Amino acid sequence: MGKVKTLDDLRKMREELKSKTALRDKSEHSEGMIQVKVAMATCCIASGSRETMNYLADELDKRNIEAVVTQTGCMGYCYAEPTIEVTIPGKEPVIFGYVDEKKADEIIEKYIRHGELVEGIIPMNYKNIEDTTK
Amino acid sequence: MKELSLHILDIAQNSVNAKAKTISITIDEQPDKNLLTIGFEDDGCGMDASTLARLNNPFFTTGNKKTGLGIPLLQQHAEAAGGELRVASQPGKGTQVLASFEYHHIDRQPMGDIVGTWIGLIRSYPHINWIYIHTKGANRFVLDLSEVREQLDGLPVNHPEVIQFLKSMMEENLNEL
Repeated sequence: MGKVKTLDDLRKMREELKSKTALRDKSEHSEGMIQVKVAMATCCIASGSRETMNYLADELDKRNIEAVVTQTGCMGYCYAEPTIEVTIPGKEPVIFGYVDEKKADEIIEKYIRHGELVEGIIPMNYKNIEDTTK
Repeated sequence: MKELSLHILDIAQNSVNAKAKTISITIDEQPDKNLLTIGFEDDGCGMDASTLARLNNPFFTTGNKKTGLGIPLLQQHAEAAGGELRVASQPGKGTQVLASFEYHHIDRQPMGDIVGTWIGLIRSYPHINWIYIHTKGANRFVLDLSEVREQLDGLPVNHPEVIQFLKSMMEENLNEL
Protein backbone atom coordinates (compact mmCIF):
# COMPACT_ATOMS: atom_id res chain seq x y z
CA MET A 1 0.00 0.00 0.00
CA GLY A 2 3.03 2.25 0.57
CA LYS A 3 3.14 4.12 -2.69
CA VAL A 4 -0.55 4.75 -3.12
CA LYS A 5 -1.08 8.46 -3.06
CA THR A 6 -3.68 10.07 -0.88
CA LEU A 7 -5.05 13.57 -0.58
CA ASP A 8 -2.74 14.08 2.42
CA ASP A 9 0.18 13.91 0.00
CA LEU A 10 -1.49 16.64 -2.01
CA ARG A 11 -1.76 18.85 1.05
CA LYS A 12 1.96 18.34 1.72
CA MET A 13 2.70 19.35 -1.85
CA ARG A 14 0.55 22.43 -1.64
CA GLU A 15 2.90 24.96 -0.04
CA GLU A 16 5.74 23.95 -2.32
CA LEU A 17 3.48 24.36 -5.31
CA LYS A 18 2.28 27.72 -4.14
CA SER A 19 5.72 29.16 -3.68
CA LYS A 20 7.05 27.65 -6.88
CA THR A 21 4.39 28.75 -9.28
CA ALA A 22 2.92 32.12 -9.92
CA LEU A 23 -0.67 31.71 -8.86
CA ARG A 24 -3.02 31.87 -11.72
CA ASP A 25 -6.36 30.47 -12.54
CA LYS A 26 -5.83 30.38 -16.26
CA SER A 27 -9.46 30.11 -17.18
CA GLU A 28 -10.28 33.43 -15.54
CA HIS A 29 -7.92 35.74 -17.39
CA SER A 30 -7.31 33.98 -20.61
CA GLU A 31 -7.70 36.86 -23.04
CA GLY A 32 -4.03 37.60 -23.62
CA MET A 33 -3.10 33.93 -23.89
CA ILE A 34 -3.01 31.41 -26.65
CA GLN A 35 -6.27 29.52 -26.63
CA VAL A 36 -6.68 25.99 -27.85
CA LYS A 37 -10.17 24.55 -28.06
CA VAL A 38 -10.51 20.85 -28.68
CA ALA A 39 -13.84 19.70 -30.08
CA MET A 40 -15.18 17.03 -27.76
CA ALA A 41 -18.58 15.82 -28.92
CA THR A 42 -19.51 12.20 -29.63
CA CYS A 43 -17.97 12.26 -33.11
CA CYS A 44 -14.74 13.81 -31.84
CA ILE A 45 -14.39 11.48 -28.84
CA ALA A 46 -14.87 8.44 -31.08
CA SER A 47 -12.02 9.70 -33.27
CA GLY A 48 -9.54 10.27 -30.46
CA SER A 49 -10.03 13.84 -29.23
CA ARG A 50 -9.42 12.82 -25.61
CA GLU A 51 -5.86 11.80 -26.43
CA THR A 52 -5.38 14.97 -28.49
CA MET A 53 -6.59 17.18 -25.67
CA ASN A 54 -4.56 15.55 -22.91
CA TYR A 55 -1.50 15.55 -25.16
CA LEU A 56 -1.85 19.25 -26.00
CA ALA A 57 -2.39 20.24 -22.36
CA ASP A 58 0.59 18.16 -21.14
CA GLU A 59 2.93 19.21 -23.92
CA LEU A 60 2.15 22.95 -23.85
CA ASP A 61 2.90 22.88 -20.15
CA LYS A 62 6.11 20.83 -20.58
CA ARG A 63 7.31 23.19 -23.30
CA ASN A 64 6.56 26.23 -21.15
CA ILE A 65 4.03 27.74 -23.51
CA GLU A 66 1.39 29.78 -21.74
CA ALA A 67 -1.85 28.55 -23.20
CA VAL A 68 -5.34 27.61 -22.15
CA VAL A 69 -6.64 24.30 -23.39
CA THR A 70 -10.40 23.89 -23.18
CA GLN A 71 -12.99 21.86 -24.94
CA THR A 72 -15.91 22.76 -27.10
CA GLY A 73 -18.81 21.00 -28.77
CA CYS A 74 -19.09 19.66 -32.28
CA MET A 75 -17.80 22.25 -34.76
CA GLY A 76 -19.52 20.54 -37.67
CA TYR A 77 -16.37 19.12 -39.26
CA CYS A 78 -17.08 15.57 -38.16
CA TYR A 79 -15.30 14.15 -41.22
CA ALA A 80 -12.03 15.72 -40.05
CA GLU A 81 -12.06 14.83 -36.35
CA PRO A 82 -10.29 15.37 -34.09
CA THR A 83 -10.49 19.09 -34.78
CA ILE A 84 -8.99 21.92 -32.75
CA GLU A 85 -9.28 25.69 -32.89
CA VAL A 86 -6.16 27.68 -32.09
CA THR A 87 -6.37 31.38 -31.30
CA ILE A 88 -3.13 33.31 -31.01
CA PRO A 89 -3.78 36.75 -29.46
CA GLY A 90 -4.30 39.34 -32.20
CA LYS A 91 -4.86 36.74 -34.89
CA GLU A 92 -7.95 35.13 -36.39
CA PRO A 93 -8.81 31.70 -34.95
CA VAL A 94 -7.58 28.82 -37.09
CA ILE A 95 -9.22 25.40 -37.18
CA PHE A 96 -7.09 22.32 -37.83
CA GLY A 97 -8.46 18.91 -38.75
CA TYR A 98 -7.22 15.34 -38.25
CA VAL A 99 -5.23 16.39 -35.19
CA ASP A 100 -3.60 13.30 -33.71
CA GLU A 101 -0.61 13.53 -31.37
CA LYS A 102 1.84 13.87 -34.26
CA LYS A 103 -0.15 16.68 -35.85
CA ALA A 104 -0.58 18.35 -32.45
CA ASP A 105 3.19 18.33 -32.01
CA GLU A 106 3.62 19.96 -35.41
CA ILE A 107 0.99 22.60 -34.60
CA ILE A 108 2.72 23.44 -31.31
CA GLU A 109 6.19 23.70 -32.83
CA LYS A 110 5.31 25.45 -36.08
CA TYR A 111 2.08 27.38 -35.68
CA ILE A 112 1.97 28.19 -31.97
CA ARG A 113 5.69 28.83 -31.52
CA HIS A 114 6.56 30.43 -34.85
CA GLY A 115 3.30 31.40 -36.53
CA GLU A 116 4.05 29.19 -39.53
CA LEU A 117 0.95 27.65 -41.04
CA VAL A 118 0.84 23.89 -41.28
CA GLU A 119 -1.16 21.57 -43.46
CA GLY A 120 -4.61 20.55 -42.27
CA ILE A 121 -6.32 23.92 -41.86
CA ILE A 122 -10.07 23.85 -42.39
CA PRO A 123 -11.12 27.03 -44.19
CA MET A 124 -13.92 28.67 -42.23
CA ASN A 125 -15.04 31.06 -44.95
CA TYR A 126 -15.66 28.31 -47.46
CA LYS A 127 -19.04 28.62 -49.18
CA ASN A 128 -20.57 26.28 -51.68
CA ILE A 129 -22.68 27.40 -54.65
CA GLU A 130 -25.93 27.00 -52.75
CA ASP A 131 -24.73 29.28 -49.96
CA THR A 132 -23.64 32.05 -52.29
CA THR A 133 -26.93 32.19 -54.16
CA LYS A 134 -28.84 32.94 -50.97
CA MET B 1 -16.41 4.24 -29.43
CA LYS B 2 -13.79 1.61 -28.69
CA GLU B 3 -13.70 1.93 -24.92
CA LEU B 4 -16.23 2.32 -22.13
CA SER B 5 -14.18 5.22 -20.80
CA LEU B 6 -14.89 7.12 -24.04
CA HIS B 7 -18.62 6.64 -23.50
CA ILE B 8 -18.14 7.99 -19.99
CA LEU B 9 -16.43 11.11 -21.32
CA ASP B 10 -19.23 11.56 -23.84
CA ILE B 11 -22.19 11.01 -21.51
CA ALA B 12 -20.65 13.22 -18.81
CA GLN B 13 -20.82 16.13 -21.29
CA ASN B 14 -24.60 15.81 -21.24
CA SER B 15 -24.55 16.57 -17.53
CA VAL B 16 -22.21 19.51 -18.12
CA ASN B 17 -24.58 20.83 -20.79
CA ALA B 18 -27.44 20.43 -18.32
CA LYS B 19 -25.62 22.97 -16.10
CA ALA B 20 -24.94 20.45 -13.34
CA LYS B 21 -22.82 21.61 -10.39
CA THR B 22 -22.09 18.15 -9.07
CA ILE B 23 -21.67 15.13 -11.32
CA SER B 24 -20.89 11.71 -9.97
CA ILE B 25 -19.65 8.82 -12.03
CA THR B 26 -19.89 5.39 -10.47
CA ILE B 27 -18.20 2.33 -11.94
CA ASP B 28 -18.96 -1.00 -10.35
CA GLU B 29 -17.07 -4.06 -11.55
CA GLN B 30 -18.32 -7.39 -10.19
CA PRO B 31 -16.65 -10.19 -12.17
CA ASP B 32 -18.02 -12.85 -9.78
CA LYS B 33 -21.56 -11.73 -10.51
CA ASN B 34 -20.77 -11.22 -14.20
CA LEU B 35 -21.90 -7.59 -13.90
CA LEU B 36 -20.42 -4.25 -14.79
CA THR B 37 -22.40 -1.08 -14.28
CA ILE B 38 -21.62 2.53 -15.05
CA GLY B 39 -23.79 5.16 -13.42
CA PHE B 40 -24.04 8.91 -13.82
CA GLU B 41 -25.88 11.22 -11.48
CA ASP B 42 -26.14 14.97 -11.85
CA ASP B 43 -28.01 17.91 -10.37
CA GLY B 44 -28.55 19.56 -13.74
CA CYS B 45 -31.72 20.86 -15.30
CA GLY B 46 -33.23 17.41 -15.92
CA MET B 47 -35.63 16.38 -18.64
CA ASP B 48 -39.39 16.04 -18.93
CA ALA B 49 -41.09 12.80 -19.95
CA SER B 50 -41.44 13.71 -23.63
CA THR B 51 -37.72 14.48 -23.92
CA LEU B 52 -36.83 11.27 -22.08
CA ALA B 53 -38.95 9.27 -24.50
CA ARG B 54 -36.94 10.53 -27.46
CA LEU B 55 -33.46 9.99 -25.98
CA ASN B 56 -32.72 6.77 -27.82
CA ASN B 57 -33.50 8.34 -31.18
CA PRO B 58 -30.14 9.06 -32.82
CA PHE B 59 -31.69 11.99 -34.67
CA PHE B 60 -32.95 13.66 -31.53
CA THR B 61 -30.78 16.39 -30.03
CA THR B 62 -31.14 19.68 -28.22
CA GLY B 63 -27.86 20.88 -29.72
CA ASN B 64 -27.36 22.81 -32.94
CA LYS B 65 -26.55 19.74 -35.00
CA LYS B 66 -28.72 17.05 -36.52
CA THR B 67 -27.75 13.98 -34.55
CA GLY B 68 -27.67 12.91 -30.93
CA LEU B 69 -25.59 9.77 -30.87
CA GLY B 70 -24.19 9.65 -27.34
CA ILE B 71 -27.03 7.84 -25.60
CA PRO B 72 -27.99 5.60 -28.56
CA LEU B 73 -24.39 4.39 -28.93
CA LEU B 74 -24.05 3.58 -25.24
CA GLN B 75 -27.41 1.81 -25.29
CA GLN B 76 -26.39 -0.21 -28.32
CA HIS B 77 -23.14 -1.29 -26.69
CA ALA B 78 -24.84 -2.16 -23.39
CA GLU B 79 -27.48 -4.25 -25.15
CA ALA B 80 -24.86 -5.95 -27.33
CA ALA B 81 -23.15 -7.05 -24.11
CA GLY B 82 -26.27 -8.49 -22.51
CA GLY B 83 -27.06 -5.36 -20.53
CA GLU B 84 -29.30 -2.36 -20.78
CA LEU B 85 -29.47 1.39 -20.39
CA ARG B 86 -31.82 3.16 -18.02
CA VAL B 87 -32.32 6.88 -17.72
CA ALA B 88 -34.38 8.62 -15.06
CA SER B 89 -34.82 12.34 -14.83
CA GLN B 90 -36.85 15.03 -13.16
CA PRO B 91 -37.01 18.57 -14.53
CA GLY B 92 -35.22 20.93 -12.15
CA LYS B 93 -33.71 18.11 -10.07
CA GLY B 94 -31.32 16.17 -12.23
CA THR B 95 -30.72 13.03 -14.21
CA GLN B 96 -29.48 9.51 -13.53
CA VAL B 97 -28.14 7.24 -16.22
CA LEU B 98 -27.29 3.61 -15.55
CA ALA B 99 -25.66 1.35 -18.11
CA SER B 100 -25.18 -2.32 -17.34
CA PHE B 101 -23.10 -4.96 -19.09
CA GLU B 102 -22.35 -8.64 -18.65
CA TYR B 103 -18.82 -8.44 -17.30
CA HIS B 104 -17.54 -11.46 -19.21
CA HIS B 105 -19.55 -10.93 -22.39
CA ILE B 106 -17.38 -11.22 -25.50
CA ASP B 107 -18.82 -7.96 -26.85
CA ARG B 108 -18.36 -6.02 -23.64
CA GLN B 109 -15.92 -3.24 -24.45
CA PRO B 110 -12.79 -2.78 -22.34
CA MET B 111 -12.75 0.04 -19.81
CA GLY B 112 -9.84 1.74 -21.57
CA ASP B 113 -8.13 4.87 -20.32
CA ILE B 114 -10.47 5.90 -17.54
CA VAL B 115 -7.80 8.13 -15.98
CA GLY B 116 -7.49 10.04 -19.28
CA THR B 117 -11.25 10.51 -19.32
CA TRP B 118 -11.41 11.84 -15.79
CA ILE B 119 -8.40 14.11 -16.17
CA GLY B 120 -9.88 15.45 -19.42
CA LEU B 121 -13.11 16.29 -17.62
CA ILE B 122 -11.35 18.06 -14.74
CA ARG B 123 -9.17 20.00 -17.15
CA SER B 124 -12.14 21.17 -19.16
CA TYR B 125 -14.59 21.79 -16.37
CA PRO B 126 -12.58 22.52 -13.21
CA HIS B 127 -15.49 24.32 -11.56
CA ILE B 128 -17.73 21.26 -11.47
CA ASN B 129 -17.69 18.99 -8.43
CA TRP B 130 -16.71 15.72 -10.02
CA ILE B 131 -17.15 12.64 -7.85
CA TYR B 132 -15.58 9.41 -9.01
CA ILE B 133 -16.47 6.13 -7.34
CA HIS B 134 -14.87 2.98 -8.67
CA THR B 135 -15.65 -0.37 -7.08
CA LYS B 136 -14.05 -3.65 -7.99
CA GLY B 137 -15.29 -6.65 -6.02
CA ALA B 138 -15.15 -5.50 -2.40
CA ASN B 139 -12.62 -2.71 -2.92
CA ARG B 140 -13.50 0.87 -3.55
CA PHE B 141 -11.73 4.03 -4.66
CA VAL B 142 -13.44 7.39 -4.25
CA LEU B 143 -12.15 10.71 -5.51
CA ASP B 144 -14.25 13.75 -4.73
CA LEU B 145 -13.04 16.95 -6.35
CA SER B 146 -14.50 19.06 -3.55
CA GLU B 147 -12.14 17.28 -1.13
CA VAL B 148 -9.26 17.93 -3.50
CA ARG B 149 -10.22 21.60 -3.51
CA GLU B 150 -10.17 21.70 0.29
CA GLN B 151 -6.62 20.36 0.34
CA LEU B 152 -5.51 22.83 -2.29
CA ASP B 153 -6.57 25.87 -0.33
CA GLY B 154 -7.12 28.15 -3.32
CA LEU B 155 -4.77 26.56 -5.84
CA PRO B 156 -6.74 25.75 -8.99
CA VAL B 157 -7.53 22.07 -9.52
CA ASN B 158 -6.48 22.36 -13.15
CA HIS B 159 -2.99 23.56 -12.22
CA PRO B 160 -0.64 21.40 -14.34
CA GLU B 161 1.15 19.91 -11.32
CA VAL B 162 -2.10 19.19 -9.52
CA ILE B 163 -3.36 17.45 -12.66
CA GLN B 164 -0.19 15.32 -12.77
CA PHE B 165 -0.62 14.50 -9.09
CA LEU B 166 -4.26 13.49 -9.51
CA LYS B 167 -3.32 11.42 -12.53
CA SER B 168 -0.70 9.36 -10.71
CA MET B 169 -2.87 9.17 -7.59
CA MET B 170 -5.68 7.71 -9.63
CA GLU B 171 -3.45 5.33 -11.54
CA GLU B 172 -1.87 3.95 -8.38
CA ASN B 173 -5.14 3.60 -6.52
CA LEU B 174 -6.91 1.95 -9.44
CA ASN B 175 -4.03 -0.51 -9.80
CA GLU B 176 -4.58 -1.51 -6.19
CA LEU B 177 -8.27 -2.24 -6.70
